[in-house]
Amino acid sequence: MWDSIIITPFVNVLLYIYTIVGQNFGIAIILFTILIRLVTHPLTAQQVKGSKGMAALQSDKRWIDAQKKYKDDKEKLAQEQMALYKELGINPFASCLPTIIQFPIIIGLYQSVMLTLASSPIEMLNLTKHVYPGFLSISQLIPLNSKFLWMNLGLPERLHLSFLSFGIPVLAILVLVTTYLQSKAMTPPSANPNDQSAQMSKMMNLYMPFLMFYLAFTFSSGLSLYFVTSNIVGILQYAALGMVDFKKMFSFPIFKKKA
Amino acid sequence: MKNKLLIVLILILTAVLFSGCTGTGISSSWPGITVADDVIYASYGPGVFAVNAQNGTLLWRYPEKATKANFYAAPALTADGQLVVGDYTHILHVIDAKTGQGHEIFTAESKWISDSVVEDGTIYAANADGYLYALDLNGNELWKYKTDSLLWSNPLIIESVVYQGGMDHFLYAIDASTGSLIWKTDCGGAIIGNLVNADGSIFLGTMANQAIAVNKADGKIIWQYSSGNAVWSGPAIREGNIYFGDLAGNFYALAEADQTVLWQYKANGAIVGTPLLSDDGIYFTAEDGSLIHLDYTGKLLYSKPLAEKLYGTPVPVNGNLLIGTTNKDTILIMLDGNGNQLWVLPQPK
Repeated sequence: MWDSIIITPFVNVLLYIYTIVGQNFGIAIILFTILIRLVTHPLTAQQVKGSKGMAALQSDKRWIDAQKKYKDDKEKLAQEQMALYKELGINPFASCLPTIIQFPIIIGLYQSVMLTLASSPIEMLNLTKHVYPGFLSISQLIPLNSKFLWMNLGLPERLHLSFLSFGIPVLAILVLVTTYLQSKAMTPPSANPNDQSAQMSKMMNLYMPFLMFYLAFTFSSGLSLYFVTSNIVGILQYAALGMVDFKKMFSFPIFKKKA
Repeated sequence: MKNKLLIVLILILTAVLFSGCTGTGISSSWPGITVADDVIYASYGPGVFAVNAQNGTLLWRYPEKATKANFYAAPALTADGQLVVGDYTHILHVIDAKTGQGHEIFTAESKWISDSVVEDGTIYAANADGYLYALDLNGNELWKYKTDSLLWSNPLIIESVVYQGGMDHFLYAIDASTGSLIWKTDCGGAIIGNLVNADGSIFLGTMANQAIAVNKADGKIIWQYSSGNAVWSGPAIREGNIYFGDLAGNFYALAEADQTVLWQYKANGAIVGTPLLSDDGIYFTAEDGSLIHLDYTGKLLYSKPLAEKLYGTPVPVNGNLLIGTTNKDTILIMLDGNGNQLWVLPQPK
């Protein structure tokens, strides 16, 4: 079911793009990621709208007062919250529901890229099963050209320079930077930076890029390319929706302190 | 403190989710098997295992403790009792067949998916980096030949010529002593599975849905048969008839003289391995996990479900039949002549 609804169509679209861009798998991954992000843009827009509403609530004086007033009565605080939701026209699920809907699509996108980069016999057999026979010809597709710039997209990426004895993981570094920037762009400003959820967001924004760096460092560079593209498109989407403060996004607390 | 714990849990969950989807690990391929002197040498996942063919007792494993290496290529046995085997971390190993003590001798740029071959003290090893390497037994490079794409097919050596199938659709004939090209032939589709030697010909299957016979002398295609579906491994030949399966599960018997279909059998899953042609009939595995035994008229003698999935070629061992599986808990199954299970080798911990 998952395969036939998500993975197989994704694989075929990805491979179709691959064939029309001159069998360049790197460009195919970039275009396919952009395409999927565009198709799911209405969901992203809805999510942003929901986040804005929630942020407005956080800075609403009535909500701040209610939090102080009912700090020991959670039931009453919840009632006040619901009343404010109604008054301000906020749907509390508006920000999380699109994320939940997008999540399987993102996982499907990721799995399709991995499946298409088949680098072992069973992966190759799986790939042959996911290609629509009337739509694409497996005999023309294999071998997939997994070379892109200096990379083999089926292997972890390292840029080897003649004067260095080790390879530089350029894509993994780009994944780290873009994940951090996207996290900053996506995190709405908090009325109270010391509250629990703001603290958690802050920590996630710090730890998540390192986790993504590790994944990009270890796994196929095709996957890293997908991460980087997805992050950049994500930032642009948020910018288009008026959510990105580029000044804030490129400000780093560590440098501020020193200054 | 609670927050930190929650964040750590979220990060671990994300890492597990992503790494679980990458398709790496134990199910990348099926066991590579070599048998000599009542000992089975099987590569599967984290190790190479030596097993007593009589009773399935594990004699040794290499490396002793699991590492990042994943082995799926069948080990090649040298005349002086060494095993040569490559892994998925690009390393070629030499292992003492008696003790299981081994060491690394060579590193390529990509995975060792194909089986290495040792002939007259030279290792011929095809790597997914596109090179066919000729090495001495210490791993010193004698020559290498660059093809245009990945090499997954096993090298086949006949009378000082290395025949190598490539994903780039070409079959190469290369001088075994110098590494120079003798001829190359475009077979129309990726060559992934084994090449099969027959009198004067090389048989092979292509992902362009064809079984092909190529003249060994000049590389000219003698005949080609279109099955309508991808043919992973090369056909086997016996008494003027050719037998092979395709990825749609069709098994064919053709007359070699004119490639007319003598009979056909439909299995319930892709047929990947080259069939084993024995005196008592034909054996092959299908992806649905069954071992299929036909007689030479195409009559089904038995179809035995043995595993979740089966891909490799059954291996004859002292009148019995050895099957490599992709089960999570079993590597090998030994059957007697009637298809009854004699022993299994569980996945060592």
